[in-house]
Amino acid sequence: MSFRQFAFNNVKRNARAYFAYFLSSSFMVMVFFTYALFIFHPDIDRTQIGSNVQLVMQIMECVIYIFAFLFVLYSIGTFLKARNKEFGILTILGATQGQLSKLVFVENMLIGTLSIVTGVLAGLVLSKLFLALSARMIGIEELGLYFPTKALLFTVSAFILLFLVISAFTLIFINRNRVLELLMGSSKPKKEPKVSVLISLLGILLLAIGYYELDKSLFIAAVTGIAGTYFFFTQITVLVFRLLKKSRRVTWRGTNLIWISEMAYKIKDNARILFMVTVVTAICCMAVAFIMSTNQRTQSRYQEDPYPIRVFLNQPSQDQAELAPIKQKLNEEGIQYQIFSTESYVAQASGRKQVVSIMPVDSYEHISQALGLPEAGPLQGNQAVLVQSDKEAKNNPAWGQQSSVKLNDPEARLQIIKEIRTEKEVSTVPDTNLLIVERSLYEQLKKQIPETKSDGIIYSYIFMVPVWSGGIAPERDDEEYQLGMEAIQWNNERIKKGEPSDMLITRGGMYGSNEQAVSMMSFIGIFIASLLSVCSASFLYFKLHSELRQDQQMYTSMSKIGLQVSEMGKSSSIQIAVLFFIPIFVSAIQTLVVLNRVREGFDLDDVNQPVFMASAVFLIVQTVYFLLVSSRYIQKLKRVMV
Amino acid sequence: MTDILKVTGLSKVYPGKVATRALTDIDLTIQKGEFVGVMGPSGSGKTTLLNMVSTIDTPSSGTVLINGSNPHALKKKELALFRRRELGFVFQDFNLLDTLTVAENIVLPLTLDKQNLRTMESKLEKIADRLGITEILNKRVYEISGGQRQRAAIARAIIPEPSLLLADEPTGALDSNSSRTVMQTMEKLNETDGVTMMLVTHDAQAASYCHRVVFIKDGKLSGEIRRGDSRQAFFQKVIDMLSYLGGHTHELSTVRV
Repeated sequence: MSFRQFAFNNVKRNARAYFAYFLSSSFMVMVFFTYALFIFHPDIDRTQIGSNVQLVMQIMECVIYIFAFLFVLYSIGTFLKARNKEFGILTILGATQGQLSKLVFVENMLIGTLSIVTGVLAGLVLSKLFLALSARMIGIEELGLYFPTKALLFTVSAFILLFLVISAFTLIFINRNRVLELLMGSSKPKKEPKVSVLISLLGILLLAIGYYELDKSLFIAAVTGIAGTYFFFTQITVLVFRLLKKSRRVTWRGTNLIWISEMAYKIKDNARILFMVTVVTAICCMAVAFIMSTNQRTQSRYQEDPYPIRVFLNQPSQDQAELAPIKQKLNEEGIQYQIFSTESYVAQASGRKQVVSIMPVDSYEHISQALGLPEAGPLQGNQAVLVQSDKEAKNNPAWGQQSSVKLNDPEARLQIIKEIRTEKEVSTVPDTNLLIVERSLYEQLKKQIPETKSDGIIYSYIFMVPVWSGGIAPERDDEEYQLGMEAIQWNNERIKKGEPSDMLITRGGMYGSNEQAVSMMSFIGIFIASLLSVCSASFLYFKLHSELRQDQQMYTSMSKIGLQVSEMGKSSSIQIAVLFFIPIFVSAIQTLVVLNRVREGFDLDDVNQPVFMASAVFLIVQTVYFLLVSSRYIQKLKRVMV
Repeated sequence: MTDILKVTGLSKVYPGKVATRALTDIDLTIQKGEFVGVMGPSGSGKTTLLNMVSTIDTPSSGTVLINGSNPHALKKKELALFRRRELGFVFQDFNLLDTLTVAENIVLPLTLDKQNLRTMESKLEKIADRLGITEILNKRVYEISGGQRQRAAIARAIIPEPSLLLADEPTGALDSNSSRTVMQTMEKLNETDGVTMMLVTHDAQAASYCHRVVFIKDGKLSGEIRRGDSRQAFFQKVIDMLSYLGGHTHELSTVRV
């Protein structure tokens, strides 16, 4: 038996232990490869959206690579720990450090090569499907199949490098250990970890900073949040089990005694694994919930917008020239429309973040006629009418009938005498509340607007198109969607050419570009989330597998003194369940907190429902993993019960 | 006197390419309150016999009756309960759980039976006091000595008040001083509480604490000696019997009193 054969046999005979690791590595290679396939596709940068996707995918490629690195490093570390005894025996038999290192190195490279080959092959087989799917989800024409030499080389060399570097790393791990320690392996009893009040407080402080920084710096929030979660697990779980163990009433009952003390004992390792899986799950959960609520928001934005096409001008004198190309386009397509125009200026109300639009009453008449809204009625002096939708009113509880509003630049005080509630967001300038005032007051205020703020005076030209009802969001091949996207492109080209461009907002185009961004995000997000989910499940699988022998020993002796098989099953499934489900619950809570905090910043309506849905999906997937893993594990334990 | 253990015509054959006959036609009766030793050279079948009695292994023929009932007729689930309630085990390597404190290890069989907390605590207190391990109850298994571990294991074995205590080389991993305290503990339990015990051992010193010692050679019973008044004389008889049976000297205890 040559040395290489020995290494090969080691892998072959440990196949069961290595299998999950091998599968997740191959899966990672596959996802990496398919993304590379997309990035290096010769036709990809023909379209605007295509090159955007390319950029996002390049970032994602880095993320996958970093994650793959950590994953492989951790898994190999766990394997080596489980095999300490074997290394001890080899050392006693006279294997030199160099030989041991070579053995581990050859084994790692064997598995690495194998997973690269299977991953790339699976990627090649699925590439047609992947390209078709991606093109459809992102909304570009289907990309042709090509032989991906570049992507292939890129993936293979990236992962060979990864396995090489990690194999070199692991050599440092085993070289440090002494033979005796190796022989003792993992059977050495560990001491119970200590709880430090100071570190617990630090953990809470970090979590608080993370929460506080959420709407300021996402980076700081992420770093402190993750560090806080780490201390949360390493300290809080220790505390919980301490408390549990203190109560004999709880602990000294049935199999509780076995699993609670097992968990408490292995808590440090468990805390780390719980932490890792929680972070990974939380990231996935946040991504999915964020995409889902963005999608909802995109729909509702479309529904709240009463105006199909809006053009904003600063000078009303050029209106005919500016509007001509739009009118021409609509006429060419044979679309009926009416135009009306409004005049308003944007002002800052003191004590509020949001800006308001001040509009003369005659401009509002155009709107109320077009949309069938109630009249503003006669106004005098500084009286004003507030027009807002129910949703805006919810975000703006301080304003109502009879409240007085103070404006800056120019300073003025308005008295709201009436409020008109609307279903849609009626203000012609997006994201503003609308205040209607008398024409004479409007003129008087307009004159006082300082030079620097003169671009706040806006003349809006609104095209009402009766066939575009605005009820349900349009499909990709609907007229409103397509013309909207065309308008965006036309506007972009004008900006490129340096022509003076005015603000042109089309409801369909706005919806279209958001909808495409969401599709792109979900396309990438689903891949990443499923990748991370599979990997975290296999993390847990290794964790269990490395403790199998110890557990078997324990349950054999317990079985001799009369532990029933069903009691063993209960005790070990509780332990496995804790590992599998605590991360899901903690990450669901984290996602809920984080997304609620950033909700307004990202202009999302409701995040709770998407978070629950995303968490539920993860819970279901995790339950499947749990059932698979725990039934296999308990099966193995059953074999040693007498 | 009632028979706690009654083994009749017990044989065990391990099937395989070459079938191994481990035990042939063993008859053994242990009465209530008896302390019986089983001795014999390596490979004689002592451990096989113990495994049959402890229901871990099933006999090829013959019967084992414990307290009048045949455990080998029970289902696997009931068997576990039977072991838990009727039998106490003491092993050479203690088989205590590292993750539990000494007290928790001792009450483990009772917690599995979901007994009342107060009962468990009072039983624990009584037994710990009896075995002189009250001081170490809150320690971890790796913090205490071998002799203390074995006494903790004995406490765990007798806390459910089993009909029969089975000890498999309880002194095998202990030094001479610890061996002596462990054996004295067992003797005391037998004398004062009337615990019925079966001890399987290599150690003539340990065997000399028994009322009688049964010898097995090549799977067959090959003699029995009873103890008189003097333990020292009994010890000498055991040694003589072992040499007569052709046991090798290295299997005898090196301890001499």
